[in-house]
Parts: sequence; C-alpha cells; structure tokens
Amino acid sequence: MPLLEAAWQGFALVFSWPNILYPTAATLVAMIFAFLPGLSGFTLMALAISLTFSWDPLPVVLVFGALTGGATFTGSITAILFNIPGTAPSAATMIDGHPMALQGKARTAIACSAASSALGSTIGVLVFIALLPGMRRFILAFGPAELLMLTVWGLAAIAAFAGQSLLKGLAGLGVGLLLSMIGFDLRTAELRFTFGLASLHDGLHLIPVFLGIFAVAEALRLGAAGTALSGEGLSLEGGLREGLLAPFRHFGVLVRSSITGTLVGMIPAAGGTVAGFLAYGQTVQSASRREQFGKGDIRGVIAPEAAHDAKDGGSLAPTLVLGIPGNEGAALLLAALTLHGFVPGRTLLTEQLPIVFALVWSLFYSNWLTSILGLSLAGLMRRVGAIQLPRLAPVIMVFAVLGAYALRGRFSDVVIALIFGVLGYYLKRHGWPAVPLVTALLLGPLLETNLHLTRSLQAAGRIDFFARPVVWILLALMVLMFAWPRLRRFPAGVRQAVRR
Amino acid sequence: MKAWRMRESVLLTLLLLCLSASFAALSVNLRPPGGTLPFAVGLLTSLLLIVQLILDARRPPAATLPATGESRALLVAPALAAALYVAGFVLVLPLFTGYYLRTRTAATWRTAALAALFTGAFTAGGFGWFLEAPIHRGVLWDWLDPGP
Repeated sequence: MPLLEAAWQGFALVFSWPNILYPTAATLVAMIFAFLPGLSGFTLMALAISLTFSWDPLPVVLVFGALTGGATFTGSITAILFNIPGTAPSAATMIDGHPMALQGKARTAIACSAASSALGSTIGVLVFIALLPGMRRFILAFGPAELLMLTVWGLAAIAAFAGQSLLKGLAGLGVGLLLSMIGFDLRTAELRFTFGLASLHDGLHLIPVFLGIFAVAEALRLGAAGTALSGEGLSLEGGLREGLLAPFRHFGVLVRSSITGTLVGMIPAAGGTVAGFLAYGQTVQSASRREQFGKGDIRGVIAPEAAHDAKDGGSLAPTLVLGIPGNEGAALLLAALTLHGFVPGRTLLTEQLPIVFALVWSLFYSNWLTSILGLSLAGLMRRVGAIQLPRLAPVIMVFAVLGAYALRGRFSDVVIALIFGVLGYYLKRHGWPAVPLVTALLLGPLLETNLHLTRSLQAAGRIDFFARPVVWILLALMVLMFAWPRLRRFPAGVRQAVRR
Repeated sequence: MKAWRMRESVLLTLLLLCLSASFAALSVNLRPPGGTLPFAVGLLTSLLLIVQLILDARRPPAATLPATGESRALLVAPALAAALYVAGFVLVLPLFTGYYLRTRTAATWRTAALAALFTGAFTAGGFGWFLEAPIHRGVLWDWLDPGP
C-alpha cells in the first residue's frame, strides 16, 4: 500500500467521530498519572491492557498510541514548580526549569517546555515516517536466521543498558526467558515446568505478569513508602510568549535534541531519561556561555523536553518493524498489539500500514493535546492540595485484581499477578531492572521458534547461517556493545601509563 | 530485623538461583529439542546468579536499604489473595479498600466507608454488570449456594 494513502487512512481513523474520544480520554488519564510523582505511565499501560482486552483492535491502538505519548509534559510541570519530576524523564528538565521558576519565570519555563515537547514529538514522528519506506524494504529481507540474531541482539542490548549492573541485567534476562518456556511445547507436545499445576499448561500469560510487575508492585511501593506531593509550588510568573517562542529562537538546540531523542528511542533499553540527559549534556557541551546552565538557562529546558518526547517516535521503529521493544512502554505497547492480533514486521508494515499510521497520529495528537491542556491547566495544578499518594494504592490494587481475573476468568491469574507484584517490588528495591525480565518473557517464544527453524533449515541445507551478512553485522554490533565501555577507557589508561 | 534486612538481597538472588537451577535440572528430562534451550539458559543464568550471590554476600552492611514500613505492606498480597479466594471480589475488594485507607493512610471513617462503597459499586456494577467482565464469586458463596 502506498505510504501517503496509508497515512491518510490512518489520519481518518484517528480524527473521526467517535474514534477521537479514545486518544483524548487516554491522554487525560495519562496526564493525571504523569502529574503524580511516583506513579509511572507503565502502571497505567499495564492496567489498560487488561481493561481493553475485550475491545475491538482499533480503539486499543488509539488508546495505546496516546499512552505511548505518555503525557510526560505534565511531569515536567511538577519538575519546574515543585522540583519533583512527575516522571523519570522530566528529571533533566528540573536542572534548569526549577531555577527559572525560582527567578520568577515559571510560566516562561512551562510554556517553553510545552512548545519544545510538542515540537520534539513532531520531529520524532516525522523521522519515523521518513524511515518507514527503508524499513519496509529492510524487513522484507529478513528470514528466521536474521530474526533469531535480531532477537538475541535486542535482548542483549536490553540486558546491557537497562540497569546499572550488567550481571543483574543478564540474569534477569535469563529468568525471563526461562519463565517464557513454561507450558505446552508445541514441537514435542510435552509439558514443561508446570510443576503439576493445570493453570500453567498454557504458560504464563503476559497480562497478569505485567499487571504484577508494573501495577501491584507500584501499589505495594506506594503503601510502603508513604509519600505525599506538597501543593506548595511557586507562583506562575514570567512571559508566556517568550517561553513559546524560545524553541524557535534556539532552533538548532531543538532540532539537534529531537534527533538525539529519536535515535536514542531506537536503541533498546535507552528510554526517555537517557534521551533527556544525553540531549542536555550535548547542549551544554556545544553551547556558548556554559556557565548559565544549572542556573535557569532556557536551553536547558528545550533540550531534554524535545529529546524525551521525540524518543517516542523513534521507539516505534524497533517495536513495530522488528518486534523488539525498546523500553517498558514499548514492551507494553507490543503486548497490547500482539494480544489484538497485530504481529510486528512484514504484515504490519504492508497490509496493516493504516493501523501503524493510526498509532503514530494518535501519539502525535496526544503529545500536542498534553502540551495545550497542560499549559492551560498549569495554574490549577499549582494550586492542587497535598496529594496523599498512598491513597492511590488500593485503587491500583483493585484495578489490577479485576483486570487479571477479567482476562480468562481464572483465579490463578490473580495469584500470578500478586506473586509477580511482590517479586517486582523486591527486584526494584534491590536494583534489578524489570525491563530485561519482561522483554525476555515477551520475546522468549519468538527466540525459541526462530532458533529451531534456523537449526532445521541449516540441517536440511536450505540456509547457511554464517554466510548471511545481517547475521555478521548483528554479531559485530553485539561484540561492540559489550566491548565499547572498556575500549573507551583504554586510551585514557594508556595515556596514564605513559605519563607514569 | 536488621540482620534480616541485610540479607534481603541475598535471599532474593538465592530465590532466583533456585528457580533457574530447578528449570535447568528439570529440562534434562525433556525430549530434545524442547529441553535444549531451557537447559542452556538455565545453566548460564544459574552461573550468573552464583556470581551475583557472592557479590551480594560480600556487600558491606552500609549498602543495605533504610527501613520502611514495607513488611506490613507486603503482607497485603498473600492476605488479599486468600480473602479474595474465599469470600470473592464483591465483598473483599470494598472491605480491603476501606480497611487500607483507614489503617495505612489515616483517612477518616467517613472517607474509608465512602471509598469502600464506591469500590463495591464499581466492582459489581461497573465491572460485573456494565462491562460484563467475570467476577470471582468466592468459594464460600459457592459452598453456601451451589446454584443450578
């Protein structure tokens, strides 16, 4: 299907009545979640998977497009006004955003953040659309051997970059892969690792596990930590117009940061926080009058805001084209899409291209709506009273329990959600990243199927695994990925040795 | 309590190690190719977890986390599962919401009762009746009234 025709069909799917209600409602709910520090958009996405399970596929795509946008801008309002990032990616905005608010320029900083966020997401989406024709040709050249190597590369990248410890990342990945193998093995017609439990014959369903790790664990953490958001923010002063025009005055910073964000989004496990801080660091390094950064420089607001919203467009590429989710949000998006029959790759990029565009337009609409509404509601958000976050814990728990049971009407799914909730709580508490575990659980079947297909084809003499260039490229990328941190330190070590 | 907290990370790693080692051991009895990948992954993961276990055991006590009220909060999960199984969603979820708000967040009785009522209405009305989603009835009610 031609790209422009598909883009138009996708546009018509989103901006028609009553379809437009889905991304609008999802954006409003996501804004509330992003505003409350400690509550992640992933919790909302996990709850949404179970609540939308019985829906038609299109509304689900529209809702998840809007949720992938994540309404991160509302998190930046709390970062600027209260010096508390509503979402982790807003942390980089705090460095210059809050000093601006202290100088009586809170409104300017918020307006600048809104404009940069909307423009950044637009650039991210445009880059994704520009890359689509190339990606379609690229994916058509892929067979089981390439898909196998790609899955291995994606999983290895997630394990390597998801947390501070490579060891924990790899071990978490292994545990996730093992859990994905529970249940009936279609090749040998044998039950694996069910421990005699009939409820495990179909394997671990993704929804209870995701609800446990992202929702129940969050509720337990809120109950244990007992945090509250203080409503004592700063007054909304400063020029609105100045803030809205700032990204255009520093257009180079905007474009550079947006492209950085989009590229970071394409790398597995490098999420919005990495994008924000990387763009901020780049801007500081290349800027004149660097001493202004950290004291309320408006470029320090533009860079992270543009980058972490542009990242959403970039993260769609590995998720929709290769089926490799780049971060928690992309893993949840992928889970929602696959549950509704959308298989990433060839079919999605050819026959179902309007659906891809519906997702992209929904994300685009959500980002702009968040910026416009967030800007107009900033005053109201400032006046918000003290919010007792632990009071949200039972609400999340109730939704998680109902969502887990609604899936198949099995009480065992509720138990699985609660077990993974406790596990997720402890994993987070002790610095174990959840992304490798959930991504491995999601990609495990794909890895195993392609491994056996490749082995069979190799044994039958139909392919030569080591004669395929993509396999070698991915192998080289993997080696480089693990060796790079050591190689980068190598010249400094040599210099020090020479000096000594 | 402090000693327990110190060893919390060791116990978590040990739990994951037991899981991966048992998967590796069980996969030996599986027919190929069903057992090949789990055996390889289980073995490698177990080796990684043994290294992590040594690192956790060597970590000085200063690196442990500060005490929070998590032990009570975590009892919520098994207690809730048991209560839900026995008495069902419509009764337990509202009671859980009200009790949690009253005891864990110092909400007033009025707020807790209103929240419980709302949860009950949402569970039975919104979820069960409007969305037609399945609601677990509870083994107690099944036993008292087996139905047709």
